[in-house]
Amino acid sequence: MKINPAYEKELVLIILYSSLFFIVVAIVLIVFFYYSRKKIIQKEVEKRNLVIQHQREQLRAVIITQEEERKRIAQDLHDDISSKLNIVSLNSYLLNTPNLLENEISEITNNIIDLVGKALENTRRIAHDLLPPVFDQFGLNAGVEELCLEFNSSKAVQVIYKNEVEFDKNDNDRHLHVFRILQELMNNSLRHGKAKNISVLFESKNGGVSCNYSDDGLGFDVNSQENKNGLGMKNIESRVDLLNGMITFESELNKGIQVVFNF
Amino acid sequence: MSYIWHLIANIGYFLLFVNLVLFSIRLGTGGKANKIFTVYLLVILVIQLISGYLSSLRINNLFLSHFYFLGQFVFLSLFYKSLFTNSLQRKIINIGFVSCFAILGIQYSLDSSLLFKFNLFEIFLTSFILIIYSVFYFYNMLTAKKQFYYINIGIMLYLFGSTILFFVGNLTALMSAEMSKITWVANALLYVIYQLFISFEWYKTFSKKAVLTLE
Repeated sequence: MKINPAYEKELVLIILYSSLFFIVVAIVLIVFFYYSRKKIIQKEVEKRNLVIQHQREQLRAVIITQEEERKRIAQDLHDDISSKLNIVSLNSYLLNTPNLLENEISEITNNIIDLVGKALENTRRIAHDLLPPVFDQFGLNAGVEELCLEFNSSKAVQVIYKNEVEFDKNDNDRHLHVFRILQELMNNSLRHGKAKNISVLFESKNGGVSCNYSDDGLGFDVNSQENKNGLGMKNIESRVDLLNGMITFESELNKGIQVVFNF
Repeated sequence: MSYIWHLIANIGYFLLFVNLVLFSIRLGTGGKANKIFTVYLLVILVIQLISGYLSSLRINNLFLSHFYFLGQFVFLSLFYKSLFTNSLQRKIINIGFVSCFAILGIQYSLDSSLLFKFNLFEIFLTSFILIIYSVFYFYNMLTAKKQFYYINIGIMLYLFGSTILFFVGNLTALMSAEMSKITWVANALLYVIYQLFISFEWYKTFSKKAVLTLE
């Protein structure tokens, strides 16, 4: 059997065109792949850049906070302790003065005792501000209890604290972050929010601990870039990151804030 | 036309030989995929040489086409399997491997006369499965480093184009010599392009390393 030569040419043309058609399909596939890859990688790069930028901002916040903390400590030392010790030192020199009367000596000595006592008290306060001894010795629960007590004693605000979780003291390193977050939140509620009532609640959730924090203060605009980039906010975020947790802020102007984070 | 076909076909074989040599001298530096690909080139070259020898003795060499398609299928399957990290894709290759041989085994046991001509189903099955692997690999490379990128392009272009030309292999035996050669010229041209992509891959992957090791 032979193929009619008249059809032969047609046949070969059909074969060549089908082959060509499939090659074009292959090329289209390859080009499609090429541009998809380019686009995906570009998106990936943008995403990474965002992450890096975020980390940079957090780092910046950490450094600035550290510097501010140093400045505050330096100021505390200078104002509260150095100045008092200065006067103590002056008074001690006075004691060396010849021909002092009995009552003068007792006055100077009383002065010295008084000032040293105040300096001592101040060092305790500064140390306490840096790391509350109660927290250090008795753990997060006691630390937060004391924190609430301090805020309550200021009479400006009423803090309700509830804890349904048993904290392990071996986790104190992690709990310090929680403590600092609460400290920051409470300070903000009082200073910026002018809150009258604050509530703090720890509860177990999905094998971890969830902390619910709320106040009835002025609140703030959650979407405002200014608030998001604030130092306090960045610090809280960094700490939640370190705890491998998640944090959500909910707030509206004049409606207080609700913060939930887990760790 | 016959002369052109021989010329282009021989260029293709020569390039195949060159590629085999190039990949052999870099055998130590590449990974497993590189070794498998080198063996693939060797097997194909051997089949081409035997078929050339048989045809010079005027012996029917069409049964070698099965070795060609199945050899290509086996080694390129292994090649892709060594490149895939996704367990599902590797499983698919295993399944493809077993089912392809099972189906073809059944087919040949039912009709052994197929051994002496182009088995269209065999060509379709092996090429189609390899094209799927090639697409998988393109998909994997969307987010990964480009490795064996040009070889993959070459495989895809060659399989897409040549499968049709092999389909009509049995038909060309019925045509006049002059006309039937046209499809074979097209096939040989595609083969040259395929080999050029392989050479280019070698150039991109290995030639720069050679310069670096000299420095």
